[in-house]
Amino acid sequence: MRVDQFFGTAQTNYVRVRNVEAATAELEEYGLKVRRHATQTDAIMAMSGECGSLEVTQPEDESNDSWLSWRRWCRKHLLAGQVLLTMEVGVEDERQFIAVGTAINHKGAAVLVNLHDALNEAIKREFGDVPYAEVATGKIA
Amino acid sequence: MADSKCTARTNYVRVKDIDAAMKSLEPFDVDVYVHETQKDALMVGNEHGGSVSLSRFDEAGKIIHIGWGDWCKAHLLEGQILVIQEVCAEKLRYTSGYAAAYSQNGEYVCVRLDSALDSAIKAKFGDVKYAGPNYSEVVV
Repeated sequence: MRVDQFFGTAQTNYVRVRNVEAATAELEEYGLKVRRHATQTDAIMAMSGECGSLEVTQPEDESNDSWLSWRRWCRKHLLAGQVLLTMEVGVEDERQFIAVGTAINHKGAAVLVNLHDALNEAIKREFGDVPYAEVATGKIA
Repeated sequence: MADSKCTARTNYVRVKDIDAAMKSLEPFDVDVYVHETQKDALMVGNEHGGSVSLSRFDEAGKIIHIGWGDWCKAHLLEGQILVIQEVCAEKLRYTSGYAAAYSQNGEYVCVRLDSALDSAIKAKFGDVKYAGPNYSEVVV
């Protein structure tokens, strides 16, 4: 298959923040695009643009400012009760499918879902411990 | 204008009769690849960017759809599992991920990224309200 099928893109939902300017500036510092909601003036969303990433799968070292820490950002900027969602999809090297979603609340508590892992669990649950070939490897079971 | 991009492919699976399996896929808008060394194994993708669903229009314009479950029952060797992965993104804010697995009996499981995340959120945070990532809604 052709390599030019590569794409990657990521985005968040709209979340309400304490200070739109400060929250936006911090995201833009890391090269993300930020969009304000049309009517809810304290709500923003972030997107990576094409072939980009929100880096939500990177290990978070909150002492290292080279990486955006989404958990820290949520603790600092989200209004109470708000939950940030990130969705990231892409394909790399023809067969490495990336599909990751996260949710982080205003306290910085997070969950991460990876479609590949979710399918593995579903296969084990429904079919038992059967061997099968991974899409990503090109091998055969 | 919407600018949607999708890509999808399967894993390599071994089939009973490689020629019959390939012939059965010919009418559909998918690309089929035989494994380099295991000549009874194939995978299905879509060079043009799109899904690997087995749908086509007949001469009368009627849509004909063959489910992968039926195809697997007819062609997969015993013990083989067909896996499909598909991701889509659209600039006007829609992303999706889908994965499915079929056994040689036609049984299947499927997982969607948004549904899996919703289940994880409920398990971790309880019944909280949140705005979907693909829409312009806001939780107020």
